Amino acid sequence: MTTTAMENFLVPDATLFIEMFAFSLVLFAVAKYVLPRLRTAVEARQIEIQAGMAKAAEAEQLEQAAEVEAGLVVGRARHEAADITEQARVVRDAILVEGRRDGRAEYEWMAGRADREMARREEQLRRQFELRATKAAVAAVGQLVGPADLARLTAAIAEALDAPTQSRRPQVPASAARRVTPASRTAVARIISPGPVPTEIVAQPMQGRDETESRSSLWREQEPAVPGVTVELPKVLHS
Amino acid sequence: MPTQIVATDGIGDLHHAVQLFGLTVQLDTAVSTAVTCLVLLTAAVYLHFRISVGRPRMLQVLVQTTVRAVEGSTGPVVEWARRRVVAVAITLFWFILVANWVHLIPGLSLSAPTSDINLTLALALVVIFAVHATAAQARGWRGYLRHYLSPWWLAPVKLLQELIKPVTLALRLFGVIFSSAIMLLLIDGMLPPAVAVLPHALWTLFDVFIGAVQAFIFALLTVLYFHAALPTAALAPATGTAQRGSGEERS
Repeated sequence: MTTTAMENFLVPDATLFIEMFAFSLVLFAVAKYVLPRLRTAVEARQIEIQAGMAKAAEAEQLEQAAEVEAGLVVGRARHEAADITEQARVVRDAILVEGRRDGRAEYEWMAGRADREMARREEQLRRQFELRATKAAVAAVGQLVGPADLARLTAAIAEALDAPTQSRRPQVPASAARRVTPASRTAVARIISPGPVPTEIVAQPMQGRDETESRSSLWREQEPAVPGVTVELPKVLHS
Repeated sequence: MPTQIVATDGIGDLHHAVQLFGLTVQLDTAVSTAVTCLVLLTAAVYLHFRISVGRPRMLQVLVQTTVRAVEGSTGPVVEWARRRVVAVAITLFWFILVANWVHLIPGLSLSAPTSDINLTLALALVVIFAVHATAAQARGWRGYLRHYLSPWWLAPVKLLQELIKPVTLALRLFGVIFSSAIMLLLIDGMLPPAVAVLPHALWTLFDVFIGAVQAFIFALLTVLYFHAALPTAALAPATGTAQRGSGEERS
């Protein structure tokens, strides 16, 4: 092998055959081993793509069917929901009517009980007022007639009150006898019996009333039984 | 003239001819072609064993893209001819592309084998041979000759055209790549090294672009030559060798 200078670069030489062989070799390799497999891969991918497209179309149809079914289900559900709502509305109205009726009945019951309690309290206050008035009157009489006469007077009153028959009552004026009531009789008994006398009325909240009404009742019960009259109990009765 | 001096010196720098068994061989061209073949055959082996249907890699995608592009430009030809056209065009494109870029491989100091007329002429001859062989196979020998002899008074022109085709193919590619190599030699020889760095880099980038364009042009012209020589699929025989000579005449 000898090295020579290139004489004319446009004239081909033996390198031409080497190049033809080299390119033919590459062409053969590509055409024989690369392109067929490449084409097979492309076709397989196209088949996969077509299968995927078919699946996509099928899925789209399923989706459309599912959408239709979903619409039907939703419509049914809305219809059922409307029925349930209507039933609930009916039940609600019935419960409201029943509740109103029960509430009205309970209200009337509680109001009646409160009225009765108020009447009982008024009666109690009235008795206490009578008791205090009687004590005040007895004290005033005792100051006028003295302790001895007072004891005698008290005994006479007690005897008159405890008289079993109407015939023994002439000692007491007829007008006074007419005003004697069982409460008066009890009051006199309490007067002549030893023991403390309540100086004030302790208000108790009435059951079945709310707090405001109870407070109002307390206020009413702390008022004097007779407006403008204040009863001062004598200390002698406490001793 | 400076141009003649540079060209003579440049040729001497570009190629290194040796005498082998009494024949002149461009050693650098042969080595560069061998490297090109090695790269392409390695890629072919890689593709052969690593082709994937579901998850193609980048090289497979690139080759498939070029294959689809070539298949789309072949026109209505019969399938076997289409496969042959695709094989020749695809191989040409990648071969010329790698050959144009092989001098960019660092550390090897190779020259582009396409800057030698031997490679480009060899490629053109192979292409022309494949075109005529495929046309004769598709049309039949009688139809193939009738294609060139009708009308008879245009036969010399057609013969001249067929003779010019490989020459133009070879000289176009050779001229562009050779001139590009000459430009690089000019830049490196006429400019100071510190100044020549930037023009050298810019021209190398342009050379990369030119190499890709020339590979595309060579493959495209090959497809066009096939397209002009082959009958259309509608008029061609069902198989390549069953009924010859019935293809449509293309001017």
